[in-house]
Amino acid sequence: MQGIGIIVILVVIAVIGIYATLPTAPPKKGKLVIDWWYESSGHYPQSADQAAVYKAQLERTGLITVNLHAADWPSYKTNRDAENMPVYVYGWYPDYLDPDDYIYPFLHSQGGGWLHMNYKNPEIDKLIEQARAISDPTQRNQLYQQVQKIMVDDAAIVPVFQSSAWAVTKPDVGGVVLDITQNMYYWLITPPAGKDTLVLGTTDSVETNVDVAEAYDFFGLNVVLNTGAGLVYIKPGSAAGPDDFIPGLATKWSASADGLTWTFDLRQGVKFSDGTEFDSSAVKYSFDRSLSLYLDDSSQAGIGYKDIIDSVEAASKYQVVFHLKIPFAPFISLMAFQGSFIVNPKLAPMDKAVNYVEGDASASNPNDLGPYTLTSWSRKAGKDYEMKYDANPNYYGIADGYPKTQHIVIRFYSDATALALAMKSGDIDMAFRQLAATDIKNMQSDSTVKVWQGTGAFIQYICFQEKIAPFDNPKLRQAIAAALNRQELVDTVFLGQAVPLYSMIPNGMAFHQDSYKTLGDANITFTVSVLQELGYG
Amino acid sequence: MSLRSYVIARILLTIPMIMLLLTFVFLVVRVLPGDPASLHFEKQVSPEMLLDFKRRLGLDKPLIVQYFEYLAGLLRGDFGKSMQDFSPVSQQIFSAFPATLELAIFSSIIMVLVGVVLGVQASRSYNSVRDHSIRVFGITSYAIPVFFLGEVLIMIFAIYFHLFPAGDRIYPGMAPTGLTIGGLHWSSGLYVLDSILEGNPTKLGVSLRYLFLPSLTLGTVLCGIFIRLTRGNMLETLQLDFVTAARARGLKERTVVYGYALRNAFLPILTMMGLQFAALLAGAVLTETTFSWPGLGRYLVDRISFRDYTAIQGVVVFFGILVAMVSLAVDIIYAYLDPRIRF
Amino acid sequence: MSMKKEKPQGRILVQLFPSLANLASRGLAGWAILIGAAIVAVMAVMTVVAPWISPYNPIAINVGPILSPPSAEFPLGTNHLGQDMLSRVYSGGAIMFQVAVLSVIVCLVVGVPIGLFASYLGGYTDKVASLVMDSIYAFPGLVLAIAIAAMLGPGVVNMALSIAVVYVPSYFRIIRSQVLTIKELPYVEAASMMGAKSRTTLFRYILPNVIPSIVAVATINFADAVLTSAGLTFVGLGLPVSTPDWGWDLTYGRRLLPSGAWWVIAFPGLMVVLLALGFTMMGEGLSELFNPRLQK
Repeated sequence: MQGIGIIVILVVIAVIGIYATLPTAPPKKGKLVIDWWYESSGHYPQSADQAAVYKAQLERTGLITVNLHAADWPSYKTNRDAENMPVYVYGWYPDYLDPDDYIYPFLHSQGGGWLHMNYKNPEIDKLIEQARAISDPTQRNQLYQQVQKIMVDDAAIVPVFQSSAWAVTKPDVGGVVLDITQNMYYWLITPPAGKDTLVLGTTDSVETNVDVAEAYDFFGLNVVLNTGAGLVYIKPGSAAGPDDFIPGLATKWSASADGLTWTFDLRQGVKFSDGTEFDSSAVKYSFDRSLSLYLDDSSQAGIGYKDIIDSVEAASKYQVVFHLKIPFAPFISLMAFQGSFIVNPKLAPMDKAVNYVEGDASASNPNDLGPYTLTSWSRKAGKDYEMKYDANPNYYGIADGYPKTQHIVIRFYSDATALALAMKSGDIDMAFRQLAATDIKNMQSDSTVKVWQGTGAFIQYICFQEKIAPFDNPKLRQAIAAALNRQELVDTVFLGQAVPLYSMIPNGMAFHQDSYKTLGDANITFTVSVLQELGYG
Repeated sequence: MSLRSYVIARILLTIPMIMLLLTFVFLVVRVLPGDPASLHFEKQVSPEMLLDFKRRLGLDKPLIVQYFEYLAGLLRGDFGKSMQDFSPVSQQIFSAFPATLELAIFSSIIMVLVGVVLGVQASRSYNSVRDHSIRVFGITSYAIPVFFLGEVLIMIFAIYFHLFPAGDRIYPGMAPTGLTIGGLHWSSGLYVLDSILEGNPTKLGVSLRYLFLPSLTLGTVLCGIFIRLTRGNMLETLQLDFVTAARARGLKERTVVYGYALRNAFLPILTMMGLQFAALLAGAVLTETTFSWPGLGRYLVDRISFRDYTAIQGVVVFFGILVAMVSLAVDIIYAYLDPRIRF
Repeated sequence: MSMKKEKPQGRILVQLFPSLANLASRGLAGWAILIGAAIVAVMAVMTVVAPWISPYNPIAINVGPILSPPSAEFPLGTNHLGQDMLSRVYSGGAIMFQVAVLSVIVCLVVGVPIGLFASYLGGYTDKVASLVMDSIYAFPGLVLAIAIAAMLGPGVVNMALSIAVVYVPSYFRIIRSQVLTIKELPYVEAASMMGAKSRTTLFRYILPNVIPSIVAVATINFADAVLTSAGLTFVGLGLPVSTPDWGWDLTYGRRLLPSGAWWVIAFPGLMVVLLALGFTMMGEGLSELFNPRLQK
């Protein structure tokens, strides 16, 4: 009896002791308690690490206790809509490269509805609406200056960092352009010496399909980019400023004085894969189709094409006219986005989207005018497995020497570790998205590979739920923002592979201002004084 | 009771078990927080769009109707449509299953081989240091989290020594194509078998290389029970009369052990393999995640973050059916070989 | 069994509960229990005193250089956030202990009554309960736990519940087989013939004799709970990152393997193995003593 008794007593002591040292001790009276949420299923890079750092930084003030909460992506979005997360971290890839795409969906009371922050400021709404309608850069600059100043005064949303774009290749691969569009232009890449095929590894996967009328995930849009064509393009490597748009399927374009009519002159002599000539009817068909299908998860519905475009007119064989509902300054930028690319009417039925067809790449892809043709696409258990591209013999850019690589093979890996190992062992010629920060750091000192870096356009920011006190108080939000140390976050979590961001408009984009610098980084004194003023401590 | 009636009775028993599991999973998965419909929408979604999505998947009907439709579908082999890209879940399950099957087979081989050999060794040197260390190994191997062992093996053999690949099943282009007669193609999905059918030794070698570490991991973690089983069985058997008689007749020790005594353990080992099948599947989920092995386990884990509950449900039900069939098969074989236990 | 002049239940109890001195003389089983218990106790104590013996705060970032190998200053190295691994190892067991204890409690509270009543009452109740329990038991445990944990979300309580659901059948089966045996024992039959109420029979005669088996199963349950909670964390159904947790380090450390940082997974992993081993040894030893021929 005694033996078991002793053991039982020991275990009971241990249990009591453990419960006594519960890690999340109740906060002492008087501290600001923040329930901080982050996404835990890998949708954003290293979100758990970020959360640990935010917590550590805020708790250095001595007046804040941060309780971390994690939710996987579906739950996270549900919570967002249910408006029950007081503070939450979110991220953003741009749709069209214009400051409006970084301001309207966040600071405008209607545009920002999807984020559910319940932030409303009529003054900033007016400024934003004006800025999207005017095309004159000087005026827009003035407006966005004011917008960014209010952004900091209200501190409804706090940008933290902007991640750089990374790619790793074998040393003799060239032509990799990593610009603010985050696009990967396959046709610019030159293959390893003596080869005509480039093998590219990635952890991405097409989420829905590669139909212009539905694709809205990173990789799907990338396939559209490389096998399809748009009216205009952003010059690869540029900052997507107003002068950086180059002809694509359109050679000239202009807007009417009131901004409600845009006219495009089309390139002549371009052929689809079956020999039919490309003309304005194809453009009209593509847009009519996207706007009539307007699928729930499409880019058109997400961005709100129907709120912008009223109708598309095939004015003559090689001229298209867009009639808009509102004057939309970033319109040309929107035309450079893959959601505005042109499909082959014969491959894309008007009444439904083109989905993946097992074993038939051409039936799975309605894009036809780009530098490459998708010749093979295989999937296993719902995840992409391999894709093959061959140079498109009908591509209009052949005369200029594009594409530089005749064949591309894409291999899909399940996670960063697998991708990193494949790159290190030489199984692939190039790795793009997503490698862990430590892997990239590792490869930077590895002479068998070349690491490319470019400006990223992905940003992460902190949102406050204004329905939950005390986060409805702008002063308090400012205090929290001031306590953050962006440089430390970027150095610790991303090993310097991201850059601190002080405005919703990313670094390198027009009209950007380092507005949040006025609040400072790790400005503990400011934070403490504001919190004490508000009664904490 | 005759064999036939035993089989029938046993099959009848399986059906309620599967039904129960099915219903349980159906309910569990429907209570998931995280509305899958909103999954697809980054920005604001109108109620009409949400309804349309639900209609596409048949989620707008009342739960009871959904339940019966699901049952009806299952009988046809239709597991519903994935919520991510609306493709049939059954297609995805059947495309991922061979990978898990191959992993399970090879892990079982290692598990039984290592277990039996060590068990025999232990029983032959009863109460010695060797015996005790083998028994300790048996217990310890089960205490190692399977993904930890996998990570350690990757660290040592793949990253440090570059002997084996660190993940995935094969690289594209090396996948064996199986049997080709005339213009007709057939592949089992099991790369080792397919490369043999294709007659391609390179592909066979590559398949085995990729298969080795994951199978070793899963097999090692589960071999403990076979060590114990074999050892116990051998200890009992080696003392029995017929063994003593064989020894007296001058047969070599090895023949005695492996020829006679081990045969006695065959039935329990077989039964144990059946019982361990569920543990094999569970371990496969973690092993596949560790080694990026494209099987059902990894599919399940992927699907969870998408809240693709048709897929999750499908995998769980599929696993349930598999386990039920395997245990049914084992029970029937056992009943066939040993008339004593037919109920 | 010797016939001592004590109350019937006391007699049976005494037979089945050896004293500490007897443990050592019970051979290997006894040693297994002692060693296993010692391991568990040491780790429990380590977790409890962690705040006092940790050189650094386990969740403080950048206390040392990022990802540095074991050295004099940081005996177990640092991880990717510059956290000290030694401190994290000291306090990393708290979550696992909590989850394990909670799941065992739930199993006891739920599984024992069901097992007792179903097998004692027999008939329809028994058949239905057995069917349900067997169905759950036959199914791959981790898969079920994953499905349930995915539904409930992260958290200590939720993980414990998922694990509990999977392991209740083990308790049920052991109790049932024990109850069926004990039910037939002559003195129990005699008691009920003498007019003892069912409830009395159940609680005064049967339950005390079932307790030893329960203890054995519970100990093994602890081990499984530790491993399953690690598994759940590995597939992403674990806890937020603020609490140091061996399972978490094991999961994240995988990403660091290509850069060769072996120490982030090695030491937490070793701890998990030790803890599971400790409980397993206790459980195996207890099983051998109490249920010498029991099939699992």
